[in-house]
Amino acid sequence: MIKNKNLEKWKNEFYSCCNCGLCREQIDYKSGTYGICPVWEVYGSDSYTGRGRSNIAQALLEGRLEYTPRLIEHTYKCLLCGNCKEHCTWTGLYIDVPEIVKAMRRDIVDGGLELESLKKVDSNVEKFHNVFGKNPSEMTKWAADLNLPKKGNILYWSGCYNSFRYPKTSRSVVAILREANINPAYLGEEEWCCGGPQDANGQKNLSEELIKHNVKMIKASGAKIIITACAGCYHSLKSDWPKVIDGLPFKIVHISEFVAGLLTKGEIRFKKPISRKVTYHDPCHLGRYEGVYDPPRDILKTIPKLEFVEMLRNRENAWCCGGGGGATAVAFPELSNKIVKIRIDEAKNAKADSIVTACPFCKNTLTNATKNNMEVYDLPVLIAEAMDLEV
Amino acid sequence: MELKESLEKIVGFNNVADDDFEIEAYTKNWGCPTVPRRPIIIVRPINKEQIIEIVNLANQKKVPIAPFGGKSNCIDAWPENVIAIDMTSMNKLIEVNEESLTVTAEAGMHWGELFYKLAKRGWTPGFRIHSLGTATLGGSVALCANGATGARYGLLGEQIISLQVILPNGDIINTGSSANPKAQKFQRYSYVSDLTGLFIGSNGIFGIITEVTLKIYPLPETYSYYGYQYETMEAAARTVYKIQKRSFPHGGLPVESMYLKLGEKSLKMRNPPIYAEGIIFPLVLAGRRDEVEFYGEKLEEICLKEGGPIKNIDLSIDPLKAWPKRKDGNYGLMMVSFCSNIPTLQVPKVGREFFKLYKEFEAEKYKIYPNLGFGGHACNQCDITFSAGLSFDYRFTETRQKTRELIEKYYELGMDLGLAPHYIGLLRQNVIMPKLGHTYELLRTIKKTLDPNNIMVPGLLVLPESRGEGKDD
Repeated sequence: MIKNKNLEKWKNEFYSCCNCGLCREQIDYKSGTYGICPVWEVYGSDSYTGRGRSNIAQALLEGRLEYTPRLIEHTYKCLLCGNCKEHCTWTGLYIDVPEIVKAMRRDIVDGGLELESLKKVDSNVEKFHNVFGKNPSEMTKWAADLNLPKKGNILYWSGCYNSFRYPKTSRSVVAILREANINPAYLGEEEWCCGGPQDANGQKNLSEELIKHNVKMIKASGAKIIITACAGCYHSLKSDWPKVIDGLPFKIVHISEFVAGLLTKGEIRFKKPISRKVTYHDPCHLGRYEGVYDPPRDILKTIPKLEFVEMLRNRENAWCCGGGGGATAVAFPELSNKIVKIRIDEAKNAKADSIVTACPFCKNTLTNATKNNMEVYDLPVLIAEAMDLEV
Repeated sequence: MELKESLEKIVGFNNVADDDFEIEAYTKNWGCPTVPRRPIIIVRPINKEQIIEIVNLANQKKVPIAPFGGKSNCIDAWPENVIAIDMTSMNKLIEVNEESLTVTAEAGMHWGELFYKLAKRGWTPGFRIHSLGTATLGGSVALCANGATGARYGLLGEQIISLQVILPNGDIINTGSSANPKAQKFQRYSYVSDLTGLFIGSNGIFGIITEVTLKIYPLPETYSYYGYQYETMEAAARTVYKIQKRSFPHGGLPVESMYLKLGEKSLKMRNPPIYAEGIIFPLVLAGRRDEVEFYGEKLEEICLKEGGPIKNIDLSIDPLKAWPKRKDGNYGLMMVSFCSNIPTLQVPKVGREFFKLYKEFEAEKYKIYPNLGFGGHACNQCDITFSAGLSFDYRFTETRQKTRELIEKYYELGMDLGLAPHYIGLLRQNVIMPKLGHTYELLRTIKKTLDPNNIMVPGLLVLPESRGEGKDD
């Protein structure tokens, strides 16, 4: 039997839900209907919305409900996109539904009943310290010819996805930084998964183990500024790590923030026009979770010849790509595909020919769904192209 | 055949849910101080043909049914042990008729979506429900909702031209002019008695509303916002009354909304976008630019005779965006409202009586607060939809019990003072229905005639079957 030890800690949150339903679908009567919960949009059941999950949490705590295999699956069918929390305005409480769901997942994991598909990912991380379960030596291939130092004031955090799947993104970041006369340090094989996916899956202990290792390594590198191009890692480093280790002696910066700063100071500039009509997809971890909305847009608007258009739902209202930080795409690809198609349609409706994002998880989900009908860029790659850099 | 299997045959496997956790998700309404009420199963039909089949099945198996939309009602209009019919998949816009100035949409459409779709064509339904973000057309008709623009458009019922309803025996009817299939939906009062009215505010007990036809109006060119503050409740009420009288018959003046917020100086009112103490009165004008400007000046003269302007307040803020950012520790505060109509000039007396009752009850001791103040929206019959909303901490059983107790006392007092609630629900019916005498008897007779198997939302409005079914803590 699963105990509700972690869930109990969040009871003030879910007992504060007034069931107004603003977490399901809200209407902006000036611009149209805003779906709030992407999973509700696909399945149509209130049980997936913030209020539905709050009611389920209350029933679990009051003993009216016990976990079944279907409820366990249901608990993992949440993208943790935070759109419900963002729009939980009626009580003014912004009830933290993602944290409630994460607490339920922790209880499930503590009860030994994590989803099989995610167990595999977590076991990969346990053995190889990356989500792909590949030998750590392969992780550093992207940087093999770059001679990045192990120590330095500024450290580049690549993350699992950009190391294995999108090496061009990481190489672009290094090229951009070097253009600004910064030669970043890199932890190489000592860079373990940030712990974010494990925290989201309910694997709190594993997540903490990874965080502790990474902090130790970064401290040893002497870095004071960590730059990353992964929105998921950025959120984890910035908001999850301090919950595990107090007083981190370094600052976390997303590449979009850093480049926007360099552009303002005139330390880099764009040389090559990009004749594209692009829209920007806000990654949940960067936007709603960390409030970084303007820097990517400021950068795109500075690129010569590039036409920037917004999708109907943007910034705080942005529709999740459906990746759910990777977990949903792995465990429920069908659900993920349905959600990302809605986002692609929004980009098409905005008449964009390309989507730019600032997160490799989002890039992965969007790329798979566009099936080459639309270009999907990770921001650093487009920046490097506009700076006319060899990557 | 099992109930679930039969329903799956009608609406498809993916549109039926009976897992315990799915059921738990559907057990509550907005802010009600009750314990969860569990349906047996949830179905999501996509067209009226499926609903007819569900109704026929319910009759055959003698299992009750209850339709629902946004579940944003605050009066606990939600029975238990029913087949819950989720209407939100039936959300199509059927017709915008610019000849008859009507719009027809499926009952599961959200109000905001209707506003948006009409605005794109230069029209508005005028009536603006409070839960614009979540409420559906059908749900709000069944509960005869009120709204922020009541000063001009009245309660929702006044805007309805026609309804399409599936009756408890599975028959489908169109009310008003379109009872004749060859006629358009343009006139409510046609052929026979006003059958549309039978379903407005019925809590769904006479049938399932599948289509709603509403009046439409040209989209206002401009909106103008004003706010005034008064030393006494009487002065504020007199001012509202003067404006209402000048607007009569409704629509005569471009007064879209007036909100009379009454409270003792010691009470802080939290309802955005209003942050002020004392007696305040926001006024919204809407219409053609020239008429709004002209009447704005005239109305200001009236308003300033006995009051002064509210300072440092932005009345143009969208209320949905105006809520304050999270304050930790402010947990568990839910709101239950008491919306009933009363002639405007009686509001000061009523407000004082309710405030007195609140104080005598020592509600704050139980974490029950009058955060909504005592006041309400102006309606279009020189009346006010009076609200004495309470916020309470849902986490505590005693608070929930005491909130229900106080609400019952509010209803008793309201009936004694002659207030007329425009919707009832489980929270109110035991106090209100028995006081309606022969009107209530007629309601029971109609119900028995239309629904001999009592399958349609049983337990609501028609007593005593309902008593004891809600197992409140």
